[in-house]
Amino acid sequence: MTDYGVPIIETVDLKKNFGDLKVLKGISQKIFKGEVVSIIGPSGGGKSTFLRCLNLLEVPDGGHVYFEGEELSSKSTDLDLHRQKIGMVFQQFNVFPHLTVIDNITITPMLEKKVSREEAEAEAMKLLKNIGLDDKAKEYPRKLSGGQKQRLAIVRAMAMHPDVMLFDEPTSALDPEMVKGVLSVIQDLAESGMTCVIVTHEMGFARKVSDRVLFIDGGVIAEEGTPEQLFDHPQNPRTKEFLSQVL
Amino acid sequence: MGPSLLSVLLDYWPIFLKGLVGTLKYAFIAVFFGSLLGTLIALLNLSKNKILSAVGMIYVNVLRGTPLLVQMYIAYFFIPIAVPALNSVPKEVYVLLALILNSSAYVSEIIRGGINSVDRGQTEAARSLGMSAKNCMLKIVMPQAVKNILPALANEYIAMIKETSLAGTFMLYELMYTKTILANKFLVWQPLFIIAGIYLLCTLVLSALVQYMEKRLSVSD
Repeated sequence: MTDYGVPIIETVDLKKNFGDLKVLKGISQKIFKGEVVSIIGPSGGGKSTFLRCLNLLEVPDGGHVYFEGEELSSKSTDLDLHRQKIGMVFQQFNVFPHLTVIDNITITPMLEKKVSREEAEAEAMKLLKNIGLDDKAKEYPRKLSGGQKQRLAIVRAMAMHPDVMLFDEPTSALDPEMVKGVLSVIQDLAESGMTCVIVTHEMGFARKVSDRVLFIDGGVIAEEGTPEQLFDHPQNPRTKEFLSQVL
Repeated sequence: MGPSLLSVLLDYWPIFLKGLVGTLKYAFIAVFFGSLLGTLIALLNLSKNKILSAVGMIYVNVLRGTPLLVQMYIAYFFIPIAVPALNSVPKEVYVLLALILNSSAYVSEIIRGGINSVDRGQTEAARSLGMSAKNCMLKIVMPQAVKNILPALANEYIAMIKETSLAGTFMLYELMYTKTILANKFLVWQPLFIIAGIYLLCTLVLSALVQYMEKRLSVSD
């Protein structure tokens, strides 16, 4: 359930340029605990850049990013410590190819949180069981399908016990038959109360799981609302045009 | 013409063997210490700090842009003049130092290339999990970069085997120096062909080994 106390993530007038190109033109947005927020919009509109600014993988050129009330871009903030609470899942999975499946999950808790190997592996096995990969624990990721890699990437992030999960087009690089499995893992996560921010082209999925949908176009949030408002009664002509092309 | 190649080789093989051992030893020392130093230089070059990366860039460009022989002469003649306290240090050390510095510049580029060859997504994933920059480099990027670095490093060793021939100019006992020894016995052309043959044999054998290693390393992809 959404808790409208202190927002878990807040951006204020967030701006980002790539050279002369203004990718984000001032985005102010609050995301609350327990919320599932989907971000849709045309390619190049700034969706992924916005998401990547939320854990400072992209350093904003203007504005502020607050995580649980602390400003991330401030020099005095321990960014690594905060990032441990912000899980991220990438389009290209980015699993670690030189580590076994289980080591992919345990390496960061063991290195950064000083969790014992026994404890980390016990939890990793539990997570792997949830996604049906426990029999692959000792394999290397090259033996996994794209869908399995992405599910591994999701539980790898979960092993850090994040307060929020960011998904950057998590199914865009998958073969069509792999999409469902990955989406169902994300849906389970969303329904368990995890705060999720999901950049996606899967409109049906966005409608089903989201509490709120943001339509980002031209570096601004052109429209936002509940899935019903945005998908059934879009107000902005650009939203209408985009939806008519993808639905 | 004088004695045949075979008879020279049979008569003086201990001299050639000692030269070969010297060559392999000096090349190893140069690449080993060059790798340690080169790793540091590579990290300088990759640093986001503009001053540090400029220092690294100048270092690499100067050492790669000037002949090794000139660097050896400078090390051999200038260091003892500039720092008289070092007078008791055998001059051999200066020549080796030039080899090490020269090798470090090439190795740093190999390591930099190896690190850059690792997909940026790996760093992003590690850092997004909250891994520190240091752990990300040591546990995620470096282990993957090594696969690209090792064969190139072995090739650098092969190149260095040839480069060390310049050290003979400064009386270091390596393969090329054997020609100076044997010239005293009025053998001029035979040692040169024997030396060339030994170099060729070394580089061919080692190159074949590198190719085998590359094949083995790529299996795990």
